[in-house]
Amino acid sequence: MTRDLLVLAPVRRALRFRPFQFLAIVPAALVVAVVVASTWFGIDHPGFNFGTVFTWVVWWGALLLSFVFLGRAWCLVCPIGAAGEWVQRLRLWGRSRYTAGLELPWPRRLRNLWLATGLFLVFVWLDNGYGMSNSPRLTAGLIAVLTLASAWIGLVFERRAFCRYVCPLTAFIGLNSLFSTLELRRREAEVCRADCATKDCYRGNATTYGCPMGEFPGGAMDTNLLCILCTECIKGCGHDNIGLRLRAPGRDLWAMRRPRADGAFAAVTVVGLATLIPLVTYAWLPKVRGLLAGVLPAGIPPNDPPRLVAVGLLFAIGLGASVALVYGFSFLSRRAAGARALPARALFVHYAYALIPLGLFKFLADLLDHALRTWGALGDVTRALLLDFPLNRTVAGRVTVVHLLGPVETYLIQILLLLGGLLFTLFALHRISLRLFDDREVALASFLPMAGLGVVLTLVSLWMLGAPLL
Amino acid sequence: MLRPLVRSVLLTTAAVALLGTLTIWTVDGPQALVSASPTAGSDGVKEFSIRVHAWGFSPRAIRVEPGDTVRFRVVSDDIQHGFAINELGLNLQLVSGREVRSPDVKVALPPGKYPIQCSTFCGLGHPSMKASLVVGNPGRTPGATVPWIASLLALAAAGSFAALAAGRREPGP
Repeated sequence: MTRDLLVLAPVRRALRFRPFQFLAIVPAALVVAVVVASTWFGIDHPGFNFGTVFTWVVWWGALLLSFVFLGRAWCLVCPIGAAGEWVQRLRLWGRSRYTAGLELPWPRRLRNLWLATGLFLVFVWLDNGYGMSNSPRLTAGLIAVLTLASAWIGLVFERRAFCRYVCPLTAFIGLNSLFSTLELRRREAEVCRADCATKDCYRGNATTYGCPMGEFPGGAMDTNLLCILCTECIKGCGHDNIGLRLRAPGRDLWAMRRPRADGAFAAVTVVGLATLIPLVTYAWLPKVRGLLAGVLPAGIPPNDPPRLVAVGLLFAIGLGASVALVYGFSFLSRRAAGARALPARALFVHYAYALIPLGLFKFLADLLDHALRTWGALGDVTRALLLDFPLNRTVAGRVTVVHLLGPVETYLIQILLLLGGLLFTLFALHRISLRLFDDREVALASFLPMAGLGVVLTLVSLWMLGAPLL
Repeated sequence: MLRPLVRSVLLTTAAVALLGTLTIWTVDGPQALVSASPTAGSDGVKEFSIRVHAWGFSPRAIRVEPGDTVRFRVVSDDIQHGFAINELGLNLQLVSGREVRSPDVKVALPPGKYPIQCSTFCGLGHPSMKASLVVGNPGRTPGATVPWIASLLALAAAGSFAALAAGRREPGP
């Protein structure tokens, strides 16, 4: 069941309004500007700085919830991606006949998610090794570097090459958005195939741009993976054949026609970051850091080589374990189904996407706990920011503790979230198995090992979150 | 030869049980309770020294009695963290290498286990960065069953592997 929001006249008018995206970006850009000012000039402690507290409670929470309900809506309003587009188009919203950019095509070998996933891992290592999210100055520096990279790539390459191939968050955002209850798609395939000769949704026309992400909404685009909801195709389609539909959550996970290895690896990376990688790091970081301190010169954290190497090493072990587990269970799935024609690698690529809800709901469970703990601090830092707006040099004297929910109640909600993620994963795995195998018994045989992996990862998350109470 | 579904159930049971056992052994070691011994101050306040690192607390459990008055001296060994016990109204913000001392707090809580948590976003392990405040005798908790669960999982894994091996030896139809 789907419902097309574009049949509602106010929604249609708003999304076809030329400055729509610009007007959506402006508030986000203002908030990011305040965050940058407070993190760069303000108090250099993440617990007292508005920018870091806001980022890791409000922004992070809104981002995770947007995956569930709005897909890549953050990319629609992201001022970092917009910076590249603005310098390229020399316009804030209008269709320009000129460009400031070289409009070079993105290198063919890099037209995948491998680079973005690699940069995401580097970003996560820097974050956890150097404590980037733990340092207001580094947070400001990261936003500045990403904005400059977006602008530079916008000047050299065509469309939003930064957002599609380089942004360290593109795979994370795109994959989680596969779960979304919102999708932008063509309405009738036949209209695009037979009646449309111009393909304006991809190429653009005199008044609109072609898809900035290089997608073909009237053709092959069958998932939310790369759709940033910029609404350019809605404006450009001369046949009024693009819809913005509400749908059942998670449909992309099992309905995508061509799952790819780069996306599958990125999916396992995201799920690993929510489950196994923190487990390995949590269990062994002090020991491994201690061992490395015997061979590497120790420093003052975060510039502490043994710790930096230990974090990198344990991340590699955790990621390797995640990939090995999903591949191993794909192998078991193949053995169980007796599917000689289908290699384990193919099952890995198909089934990996179905694990995404496990990661997404674990992140949501983590966020719930963090937001409840730091809700009081958000009020403190906001008051401190207003006293010295926007430089945030005033220390919020103490941190207010607001007791919104007790630990047992919080844990119960986390259990519900994690079980919800597991149910979505099991459903997606089952649908994929039915697509891969005609025989229902063989499909069930292939499904069971992957379902077992989902259950184990969920139990690991439940144990990790509940350990102090159990 | 086994039917696909039977083979699948046995393979899944074996793999899941083996993985579960390994995970419990990996995590339960570092999770084991190591309690802090308080030093009794001249003012009658029980004082606890705690070291904090990404992503854990040392010790992992602090035992107090209902009605105790306690004080915490907390040092972060690496990056900046928080030390929060919401039930005691405490949220200390820590700076690397510098000791932060809490105000004296009276423990007016019923017996039970309460989480001690980091309250500053400090990376991927932040959500799991917790320790326990054990007030009085909380009785038997579900965590005590973990070694039993590990043993049962190991047995299930062994049984499934044995059944799979037996199934392979049977001639096909």
